[in-house]
Amino acid sequence: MEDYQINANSIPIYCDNTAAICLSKNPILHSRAKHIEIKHHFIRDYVQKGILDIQFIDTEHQWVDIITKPLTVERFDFIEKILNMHFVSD
Amino acid sequence: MSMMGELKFFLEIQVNQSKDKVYVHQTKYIKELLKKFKLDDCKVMNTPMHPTCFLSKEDTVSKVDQKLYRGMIGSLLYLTASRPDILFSVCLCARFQSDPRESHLTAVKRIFRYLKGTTNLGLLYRKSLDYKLVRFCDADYAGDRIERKSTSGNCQFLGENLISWASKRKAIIAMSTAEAEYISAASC
Repeated sequence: MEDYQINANSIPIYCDNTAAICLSKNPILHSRAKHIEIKHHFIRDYVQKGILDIQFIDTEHQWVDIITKPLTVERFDFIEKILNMHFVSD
Repeated sequence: MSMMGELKFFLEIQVNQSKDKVYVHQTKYIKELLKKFKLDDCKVMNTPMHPTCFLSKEDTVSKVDQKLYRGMIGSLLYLTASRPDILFSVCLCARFQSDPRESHLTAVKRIFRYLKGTTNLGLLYRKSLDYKLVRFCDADYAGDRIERKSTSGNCQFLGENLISWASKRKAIIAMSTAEAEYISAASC
């Protein structure tokens, strides 16, 4: 990425759960988060270093819905457009 | 190595290139699949899966030919290379490959019916100077009703173009939505 002069610092990650965002920004281990495996906590280090930047996004604008749950026709077609899926005309 | 001109067709993936945009699609492959599984005269569906669809392990419904079911899943999995829209439904159906029943086959056939209406749907890559990498991540808490495992999904955009996407059922049973989302955020 750096070869193409693309700055790879503070990559935004959009998440629709505030609790998860707070968890990633807080370096202190709480008893509530104790059971989460250590390997998942690496994200905290990256947030601390400033490589990743976790931001909140509301469910309306969460495009990943299309690959985590079955959706209604309207929502499905809407997200398809966002993902840059278009009909190819020959 | 010999120069064979512009890339048009490679491993069943078709590429249409023009001055400022590139289309990646698998129209020919979908048409071949529909013919292969004799589904080319079925009715068209708007989505690959019903919003309230719930697949589970069945004992009462009659068994179907495992070879056929696995064949269908395998072909569809290859199709997800250019179709993020069917990724979730294919992955869900793929979990029942060991003991496929009539109800699971119906779900797979629905995907084919959706594909029939959208054979020439493909990913569009526009030319742009915006090279900002953005990532979206989400989790469906206890989306898998059988084992109560969460499904996490993520997709990466470079500028406005979609470059990578993934959907995975996690091995760990999450205790809360926050944990499920946290794990999905950390799984890049």
